[in-house]
Amino acid sequence: MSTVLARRVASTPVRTASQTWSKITEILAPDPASAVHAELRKAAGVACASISSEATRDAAIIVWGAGPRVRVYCVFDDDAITGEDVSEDALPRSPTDGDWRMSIPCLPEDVPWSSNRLASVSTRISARAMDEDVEDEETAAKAAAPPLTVNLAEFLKP
Amino acid sequence: MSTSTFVVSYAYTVTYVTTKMLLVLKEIIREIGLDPSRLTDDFDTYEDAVSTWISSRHLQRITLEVYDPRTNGLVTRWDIDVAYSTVGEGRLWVDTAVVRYAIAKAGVAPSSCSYDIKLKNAPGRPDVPGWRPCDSRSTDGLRRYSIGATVGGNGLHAQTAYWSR
Repeated sequence: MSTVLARRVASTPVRTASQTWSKITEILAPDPASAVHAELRKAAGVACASISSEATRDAAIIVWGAGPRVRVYCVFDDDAITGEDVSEDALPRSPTDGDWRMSIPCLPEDVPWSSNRLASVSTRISARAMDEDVEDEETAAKAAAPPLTVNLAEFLKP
Repeated sequence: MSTSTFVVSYAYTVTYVTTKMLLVLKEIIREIGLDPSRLTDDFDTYEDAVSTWISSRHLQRITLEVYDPRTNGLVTRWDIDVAYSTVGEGRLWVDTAVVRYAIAKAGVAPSSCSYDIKLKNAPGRPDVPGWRPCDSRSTDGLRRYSIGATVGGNGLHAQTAYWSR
């Protein structure tokens, strides 16, 4: 079974959208001089559109690959002010070490332009509609495995 | 419509209204058929300017000028006007549905159009790096239609309007 970690980052009215994305980037890629940090900065426009529309309230920014799968949600309104459910601790291991992918949830209407924009700046980061999820490796493997059938003739042989 | 009912400081109100005004702007750009990337790629730059000038109470308007690049003439214009008051009920809200409804009536812009985003301030604004004075395109031949308040907060409101032939 794969490991899933979750973080909940305070957003408006405590942080603007770009401040929220900076905090998420800091959690996912702590080294500001790293190539991963730079790649996440290039996705800031789409991420800010997602955060400002509050798509990240119930749908996670998902990172997966060699490390643990990480789901990052944003906390808004009074919960952001009181810190209710906010968890911004550093991750035990960076999920962006090695091969990694990221999916950013968007309003369905924002998916076409967001996908085009992300494709021009990154091969690892993509956009999805906020009501869609990203399959984990086990589900994907099960879906890809051929169905099992029973050879009744052989099975019923004495 | 998203509504929050809790008491917030003016600093939080500025953060909320800044982010939601830019959200409304992004919704307008996308709904009239243009690519919001030019706005979102510089989201932090716009946030810095809008929040600085709302904090100092100098920001009067965010304007989206949609123009024909061949003639530089204005095709349509959207205004998000900021209104300041000394009292507020502490409630934060944004309504993007009213923008979509207005665009359904006003129609989309030709895909060949481009756009500029301009901020209008009262005299004496503090400087924000990267911003300089500019002129607005003429609205001759266009008529202004108000669609009402789209963002509200603790002593701050944003009213949206568009210009059309």
